[in-house]
Amino acid sequence: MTPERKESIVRNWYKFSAGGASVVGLIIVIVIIILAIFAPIIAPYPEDAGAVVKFSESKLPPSSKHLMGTDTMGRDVFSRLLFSLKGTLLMGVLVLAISVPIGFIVGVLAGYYRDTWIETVLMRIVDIFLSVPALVLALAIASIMEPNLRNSMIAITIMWWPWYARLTFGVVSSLRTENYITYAELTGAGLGHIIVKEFLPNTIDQILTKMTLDIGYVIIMGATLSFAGLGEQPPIPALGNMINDGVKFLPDMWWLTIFPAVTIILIVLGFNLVGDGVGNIFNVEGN
Amino acid sequence: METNNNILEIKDLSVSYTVANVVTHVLEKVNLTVPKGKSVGLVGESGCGKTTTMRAILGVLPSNANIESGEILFNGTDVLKMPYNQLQEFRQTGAGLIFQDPSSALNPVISIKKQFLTSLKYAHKDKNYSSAQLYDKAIEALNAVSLADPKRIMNSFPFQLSGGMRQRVCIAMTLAGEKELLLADEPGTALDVTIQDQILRLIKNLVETLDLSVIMVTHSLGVIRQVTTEVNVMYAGSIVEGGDTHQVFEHPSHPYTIALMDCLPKLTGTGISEGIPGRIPDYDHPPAGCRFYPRCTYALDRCKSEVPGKTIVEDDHWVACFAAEEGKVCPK
Amino acid sequence: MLLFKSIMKRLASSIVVLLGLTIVIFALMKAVPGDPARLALGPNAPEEVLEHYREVNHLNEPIPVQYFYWLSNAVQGDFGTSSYTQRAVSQDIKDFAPATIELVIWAGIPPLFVALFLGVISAQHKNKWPDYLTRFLGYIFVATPTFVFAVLFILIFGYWLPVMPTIGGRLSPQFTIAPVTGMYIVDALIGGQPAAAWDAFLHLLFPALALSLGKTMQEARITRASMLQNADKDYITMVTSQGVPKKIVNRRFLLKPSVIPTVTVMGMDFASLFGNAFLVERIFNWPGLSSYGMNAILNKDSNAVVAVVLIIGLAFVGTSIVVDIVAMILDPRMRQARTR
Repeated sequence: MTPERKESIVRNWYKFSAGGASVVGLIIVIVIIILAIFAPIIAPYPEDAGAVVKFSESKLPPSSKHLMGTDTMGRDVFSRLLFSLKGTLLMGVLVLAISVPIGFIVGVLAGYYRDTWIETVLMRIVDIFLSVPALVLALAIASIMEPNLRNSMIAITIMWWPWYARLTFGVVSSLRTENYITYAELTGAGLGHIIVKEFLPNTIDQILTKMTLDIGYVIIMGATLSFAGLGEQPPIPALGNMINDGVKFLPDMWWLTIFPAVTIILIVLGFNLVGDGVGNIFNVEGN
Repeated sequence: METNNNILEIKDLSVSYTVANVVTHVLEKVNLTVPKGKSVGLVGESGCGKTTTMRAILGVLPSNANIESGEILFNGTDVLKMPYNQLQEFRQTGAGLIFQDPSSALNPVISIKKQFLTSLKYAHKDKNYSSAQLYDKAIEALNAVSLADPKRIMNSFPFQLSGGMRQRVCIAMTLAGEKELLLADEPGTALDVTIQDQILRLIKNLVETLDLSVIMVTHSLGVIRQVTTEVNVMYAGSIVEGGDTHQVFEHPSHPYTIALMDCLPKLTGTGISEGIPGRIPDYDHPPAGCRFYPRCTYALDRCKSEVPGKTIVEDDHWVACFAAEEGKVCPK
Repeated sequence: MLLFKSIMKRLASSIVVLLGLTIVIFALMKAVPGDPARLALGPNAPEEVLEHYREVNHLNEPIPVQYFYWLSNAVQGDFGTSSYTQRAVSQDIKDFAPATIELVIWAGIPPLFVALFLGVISAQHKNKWPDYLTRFLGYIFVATPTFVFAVLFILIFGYWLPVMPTIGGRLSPQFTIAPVTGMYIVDALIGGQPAAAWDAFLHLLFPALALSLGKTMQEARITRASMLQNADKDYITMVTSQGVPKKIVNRRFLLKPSVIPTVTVMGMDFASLFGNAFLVERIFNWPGLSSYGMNAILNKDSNAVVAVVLIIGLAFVGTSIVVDIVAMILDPRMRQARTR
């Protein structure tokens, strides 16, 4: 590694860790990822992630044997929680992995063809999707499909790309008239070249910052759909459906709700803190 | 020079900034004196600490700045040690700052009238003017900076004015406070050359008629020659040469000053100058000795580790340079 | 005049957007699998009845024609019959809307002032305990989904510290309130029933908190950030350097430019309350439009879903127009900017 590269990494780490909270976030995220990957090994009762019934063990409060208690069917809540992490993280990552490129392309095209019919059509479509709270339409879209994790991801993706289209459009349309873009065009650079060499480097900071901050929100929305019964279906555990199951047994079996609830808060908190740190690196004010 | 004759004396002022846990030492033992009624120049490249010095005088440094040591004596009283009320009084009547960038110095969402009258009210706090009197004073000040239709300007928002108009409004706001010392931080640099020239002439006239003391901050030696009687050359947070403007221009003694003057386009010259090779050092790892050392063509071994002290060149002209001290610097 | 012109422009483009929204929603409705006549009339209806239903509801026409019929009915306020409640959707909406409006107003407007207050306090006491506390709670609350707030409130304030009516709804059964505005707290006070007003308030408090806590802390954070960022701007340094006291500087020169970005965010947050209310209303048995919409979604009641989504879209667009107007009043620059 060159000294310059090393120094820039050190500098970025300073910026990221200023205040310390982002480091806590990073630790939370890393721990969650490790737990998600090694759930089958760590979980004390891996078989409880499925449709198992153990009446002798049902409705037990938290103890050394069952850290987070057991549910009405006698399944270990801690084990189920560990198995739910993978779907939760996949939700956050996949939705963004698909919606960000779509949004970017739409935004770049609308920005590049500013003041033409292409901009009008594309940005009006974006406006349409942004004219209803994302959750409402995501619920409606999810409801017409088979309820499962994949379809809830599709529903959220449909609602998510317009934000990135708007973000990219804002940057690109203001760059459009810059001389160096005109210059690139005059020297015969194609649209693809300009996108990769000029527009992408100018938007990437904001997009990356927004992405890290958005993972938490996507996870919240996914959990919300799952809580509403439009995500992963029982017996497969998901944080949302576990809370939904637990609500029926409040207040006696509080452990069914509390632990998944705290887990969601922790995951989202972790990603949000990391997002703040990434924003500090790029000097992008996140919100 | 007698102390009581100086309106402002900065002694060994050091200021640092903290950005993302990294401390940058921007000002290193700055010394600067302004005699009463004189125009003093402060010249140097962008980023050498001129604006920081100006802001430190008024106690309006950004929140991540830290004054590490030094004194700023205004009429003999240390501004840095003033209690809040006295500091406010100093800001209201003592010194006023003209900002470099007129487009950022006016509040974008508040009318000129409100901004002008509020600052004027406090500048003349002791006189208890009525708001009608304040308004008249503001109009008078806008007239004085040759702005047509001052009433319309008062009812405008900054974005409705041109850059030159905004700069004039800022100057009017500062001058209407009738302060003793004017700190002009590169006035007009952000504007067209013609407007910049107008602004400079305006300040010069106002200073002569109102008998103000001025610090003129600039990166232009031409401006210094036109406007000031004394000059201080700043490099990377330290003043490297200073004294009577004529003497400094006649016999520039610091390699940096000489290099700066070489950069001036001359009518008889052989073309565009080459500029000064290298750039201002990183403030987080400044050279241990003379800060100009890495770029200096006259550099000696001791320059690397030792900081040069003041050497008197002429009766009112000094330099901080080992090479000059040893007589090894000769202007081309 | 400029203000008026930009508002008209804004309205015009909103109409285009809303028309687009109707197309999306209509397409969504058509995407529901199954025969709509069968879904509406049940599995035992004979074929002639189904055919008659299709004929009356133009279901045999091409889709664009169907859209036209649907739109012209929708514009007149006719959204068809709800297959779940078996009543006119428009009547259902009329009955359920006031509860949602009451909830959204309480969850939207008072927290706005709390957010500004906290943001200002936090900025002024930067890196002291009020700031640390606000930021700490901010991080936690922003990370908490609204439905988790709702569930935790039921557990904590419904059972552990029983201050909240656990059955939910808008009012305990012993009270009746004569409807005036449709908003219970106001109506109870008009009718001179302070006990009923208090009861209605307790019913409302926790759903409103669940809806607003996260957003409030988010807005406080934005206010804090923009206060701190603007505090180092030249225009603040300018007035400070003129000797204007800090208090006056903060109140007259710093607050306004710092609040403007928050106002825009707040408007969007306010509009998104309608969305988050979907689950909160359901959890607290709040008889509002959103829980009606949620039931419709879960029961594949497409007429009702479409109507609710459209109404919420309308409210959303309406709110953002109001926000734009407020922003234009606050920020003179926006009066000139091209509004899209």
